[in-house]
Amino acid sequence: MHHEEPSVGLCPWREPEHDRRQFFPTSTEVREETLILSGKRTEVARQLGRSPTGEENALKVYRILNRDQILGAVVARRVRGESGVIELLLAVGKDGRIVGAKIQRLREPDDVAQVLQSASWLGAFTGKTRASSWRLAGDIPDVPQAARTSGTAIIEAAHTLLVLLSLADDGTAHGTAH
Amino acid sequence: MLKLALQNLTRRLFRSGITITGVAVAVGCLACLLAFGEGYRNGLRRELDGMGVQMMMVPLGCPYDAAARVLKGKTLDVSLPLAALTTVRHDAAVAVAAPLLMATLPRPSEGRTDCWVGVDESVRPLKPWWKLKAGSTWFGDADSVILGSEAAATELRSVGDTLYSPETGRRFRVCGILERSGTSDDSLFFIPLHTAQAMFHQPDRLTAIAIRLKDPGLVTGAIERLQQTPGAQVVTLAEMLGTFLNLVGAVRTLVMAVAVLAVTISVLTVFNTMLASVLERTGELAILRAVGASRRQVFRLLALEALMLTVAGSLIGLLLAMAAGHSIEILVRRFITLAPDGSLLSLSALVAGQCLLVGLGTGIVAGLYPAWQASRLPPARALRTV
Repeated sequence: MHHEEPSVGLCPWREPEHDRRQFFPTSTEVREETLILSGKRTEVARQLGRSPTGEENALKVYRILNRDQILGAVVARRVRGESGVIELLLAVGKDGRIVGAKIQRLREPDDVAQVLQSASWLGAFTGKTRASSWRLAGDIPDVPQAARTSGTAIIEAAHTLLVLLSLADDGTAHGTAH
Repeated sequence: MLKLALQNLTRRLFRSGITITGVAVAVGCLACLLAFGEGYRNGLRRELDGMGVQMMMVPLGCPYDAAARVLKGKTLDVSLPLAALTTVRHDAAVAVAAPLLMATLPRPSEGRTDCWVGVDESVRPLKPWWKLKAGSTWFGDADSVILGSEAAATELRSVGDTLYSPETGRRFRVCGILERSGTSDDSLFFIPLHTAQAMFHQPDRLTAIAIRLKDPGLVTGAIERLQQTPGAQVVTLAEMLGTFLNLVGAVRTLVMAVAVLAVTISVLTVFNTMLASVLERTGELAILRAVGASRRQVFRLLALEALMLTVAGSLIGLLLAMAAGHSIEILVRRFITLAPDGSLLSLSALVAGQCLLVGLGTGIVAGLYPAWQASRLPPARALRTV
């Protein structure tokens, strides 16, 4: 049987105004950038501990600004959940720490969805950086068995986003701004 | 002469620019309209031809709206009784009758709508474009789902994965993923008919029955018999195509009138520009005559200037149509909810040729009189104005 891994693709930011006000209350505007990371595949692979996928060659970053001053960034990623796609949104401060996390979309059963979207579980992401420890049931609160696959996928996606963002922010990634 | 004509036009750059812009806008509008008409007609015919069915049985109501909704994977507010399927299958002219139950679960905040379609095995001969990208060709059990290629990509599903429907609380196993077909099937979730009926609380109900006849020549008799089915009506795809094209044709005629008006205005603009040019250049043209230019040569010079203006305008108009075509299509699609998939704009060589001809015609019509006027200038009288 031919088994093909589905493509993750770029994930949209679904509620920019609402999320911007929630995560960066003093912000005034958003600047969209698409950064190309294909020149950093070796470093991406080293930091992720695996070969980067084709989609990880580019990262869409929404810079959050208060007039000319950058407050942070918002990045999003589609994740293979146990029962369907999950869209994870991260708000990251300019020091590289997570300011807030949000699940934009998921199709998990109610009990699993409630756990994964709970403030206590997603809230544990706040303050973490790419260098933090991201172990489920250790650094991040454990989840019931039914939610473990999706929970692990979300944690992996959050760490990947932070790695890609930090590499994009080190000044050598090229891209376009809108 | 070409060089002289070009010099005359570039001497009055602003006026020439305005005239060219007028022609460009008119030709651009015309090109978009013609391209839209051709693209829509081609798209609709392609989609209906690809259906593999000649007729649809749908619940009572507007048959064209119902059939179009079913073909585009949208739901109906009313449904057919399952008994209608038995009636259709017993008809002597019917080769295949495939029952369909469709339900959509919209989630606007998430930018998605789950489109579930319940089918049974009889649908397979009607879907000749179904090619499997992965997995098995048919449902293994009642909780299997076959995903269209876009649906699988959107949900990041592979064969063997679970797909959960939060609204109905049902869990499915992905047993197959279809290759991209360019039809509405790409975004659908196909499940067994009985599962769909249970899932959406529609036992013994159907959204539509797709029908293929043993011989397309039997269509008239089949319609007469099947129209007798209580609560149901039958519509042929040929009728649908004709009705849609008539509807679009009526709108197109109206909009074409606007395009004709724009072309007429551009003819008048070119005419005005050329006439003003002749009046301004009376002395210059007289000198041309005095130094030996024939009437025919003066006529040709002015006619050439008019043609150059309109040809330049037409080419820019075509470029405008090509550049703005995609944006116009996005706008148009908002108002046509059941538009065929694929591009609605077909800016073919034929359309481009027609537009260029209109541009040339504009130049000829608008340039004739001013050129004739210029050629009639008596050199002696004209020289007095120098």
